[in-house]
Amino acid sequence: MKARTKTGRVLAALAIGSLFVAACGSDDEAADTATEATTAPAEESEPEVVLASDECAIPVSADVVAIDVMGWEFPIITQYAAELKECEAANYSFNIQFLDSKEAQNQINLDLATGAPSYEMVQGSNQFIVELANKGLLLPLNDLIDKYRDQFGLDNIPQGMWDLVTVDGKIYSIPMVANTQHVFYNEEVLNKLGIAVPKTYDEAITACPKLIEAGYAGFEMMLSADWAWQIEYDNVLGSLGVKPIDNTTGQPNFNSAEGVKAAQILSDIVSKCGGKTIGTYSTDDVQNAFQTGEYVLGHLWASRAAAMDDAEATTPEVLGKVKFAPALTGGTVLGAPAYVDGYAIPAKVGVDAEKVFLAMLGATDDESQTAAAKFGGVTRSGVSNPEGPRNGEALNVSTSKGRGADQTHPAAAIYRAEIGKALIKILDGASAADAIAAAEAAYLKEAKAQNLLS
Amino acid sequence: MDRRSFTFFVLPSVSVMTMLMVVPLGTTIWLSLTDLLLRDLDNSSFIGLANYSEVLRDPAFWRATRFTLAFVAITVPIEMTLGITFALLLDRVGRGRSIYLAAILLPFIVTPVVGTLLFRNLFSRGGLVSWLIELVTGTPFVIDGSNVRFLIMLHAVWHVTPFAFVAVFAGLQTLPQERVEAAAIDGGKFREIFWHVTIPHLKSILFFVAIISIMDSYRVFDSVFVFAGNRFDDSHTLSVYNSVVALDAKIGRLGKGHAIAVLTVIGIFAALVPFLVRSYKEQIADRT
Repeated sequence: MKARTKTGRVLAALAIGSLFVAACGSDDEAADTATEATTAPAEESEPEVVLASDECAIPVSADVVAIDVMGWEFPIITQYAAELKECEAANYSFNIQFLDSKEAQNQINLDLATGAPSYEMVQGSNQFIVELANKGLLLPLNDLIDKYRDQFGLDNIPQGMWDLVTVDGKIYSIPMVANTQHVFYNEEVLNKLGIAVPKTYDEAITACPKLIEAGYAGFEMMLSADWAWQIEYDNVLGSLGVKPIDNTTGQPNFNSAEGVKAAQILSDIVSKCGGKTIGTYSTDDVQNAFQTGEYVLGHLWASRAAAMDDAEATTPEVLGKVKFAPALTGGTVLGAPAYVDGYAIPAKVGVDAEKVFLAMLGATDDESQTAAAKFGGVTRSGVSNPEGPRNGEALNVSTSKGRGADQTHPAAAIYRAEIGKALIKILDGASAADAIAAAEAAYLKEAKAQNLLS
Repeated sequence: MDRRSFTFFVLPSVSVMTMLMVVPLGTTIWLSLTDLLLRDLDNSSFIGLANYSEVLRDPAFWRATRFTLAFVAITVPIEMTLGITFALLLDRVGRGRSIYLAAILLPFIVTPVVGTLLFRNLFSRGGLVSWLIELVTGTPFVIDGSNVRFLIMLHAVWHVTPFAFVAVFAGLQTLPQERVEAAAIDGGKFREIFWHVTIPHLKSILFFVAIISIMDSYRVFDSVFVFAGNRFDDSHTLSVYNSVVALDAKIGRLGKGHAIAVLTVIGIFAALVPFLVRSYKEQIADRT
């Protein structure tokens, strides 16, 4: 905690110093509004801007800014929520609510669609943010980003991260979490059984009988929800070099030989590795199963890696023994998505959007990301935390050599809904080919009904 | 009472009913004739009966209709039978009656979603029932496509039986004991007294319980939503099917959802008409 405070102070001092220099050499509006540090003397012609604190270096608002936030929670998001709370020193108040990811998405959609949203800020993945943006429910942030780009070092976020939350040149979020999925494994157990860390889905499935015979679970992943099936399916299909739909026309590509093969790989994971209970583990359950030693090989979100070193929640026999490897492949590309998570502002937000944006900046600046890096991947170049997770290499390789971002076509949301609903029936015995055929029929019917195909 | 006074007295209630029932129903019917989408609430156009046509050709609608009807047909009789049985048993209890009463009412007092989650957790991996089954069989019990419908119905019986029980139990407290004693003196056995004295006395209460239970079962949502979610769409009732079509963030077919709602209302109306006609006729007969 001391290290974090010290780092925060150094960064804040640097930020304040650079802002002061920028203010002296510039007369534009951005420089006028947020240039002075708490202790800096104000020029006679300019009002003094008081920054809230080192932890949230944004101007103190004259009036209370009440912000309701909705999203879904995992460890690094919990930390970012704490960073938002730090901004209460700037005369803000935050009511932060978390739901299950699917319910949060439904709730946000309904709320924003009313045209008078009760949330001033929403949190989600790039996939969800793009879906909202396609519906015109989010505020483009380009002007605000340009205004505060230098002051808050927004160029430290690589362009590739911005691209994930950009639609038609409009940016809808500030990326704050870098995420993907990759292999988690218990090195000691795999060494004992003479199993090499798998690099392909076939190798992972082949390892299962040996693991199960030795009394361990097979190769495991989260397959208890339709959306999880969709993401895992997209991973496998992407590793075979296929995008599920044409991003220009929306026409489906997934009912093909590769599409059925991808579904068959997931079906094999269920029947040969996961068994009857694989459809009962949530993401939290999979994480906990690794922490207790129940799982020794599987596929999990990179944002869960830090938990493997949590001495309070990981059994001593497992602590420090879970290692990380890049995502698997079924062909030439790694089956790993490029995900970012971030905050966004509803298009018809009921309060001053700039003040909401400033809170987002205060909670995602270098100081905040340094603190968040203890729990997972962050987005600012050069920001790290010595107490952070050990999966940096697996995360970087998986992201850079993975299947990339989800598709942005407006019909992609329908594809995701239908493929997830169809594939999850594999748990109850549906064949891969039947599931894919059913998904294609449902997708075409719904996308045509909504005039989204060309 | 003259017409003017009559109008004056009924106007407030008619106005409120119009605002709360007729306007929403009219709006629902109108929206069911449009292509309204959740992602674009500002733009919709009139498409006639296209939504109805699509719904009626959708296998998922008929699947949901079949399960809804099966749900009503199976759970309501069981709930009523158990409710009557528990009420008769408790009516004979002297000591500790309030403890039994509280215990039987407990499922009905618990918030429906909380009760459903608790019930589901019993059968989920690591839950008490699942663990007990694993102890006996060696295999953990998991909720899957083969048992989810049974569990949804079991939960409904657990949750709604107390309603039938408390209504019948209240009715039993008003049963004149002289009538029961007279029947007993005349040599009536328990079964004969039950059929010829108790049931006629409870007739109007049983009718009320049946109507409410049928309506509640027909529109059941929360427990099915919690149990089935998107995983078991074969086990969706009409209400859940509607919510998936209309309110799922990725689909959001509000126009189609309103058409489903209209068809659902027509369905419940058709199911209840025989009961209502019979009730009306009996009331007329009682008056004459």
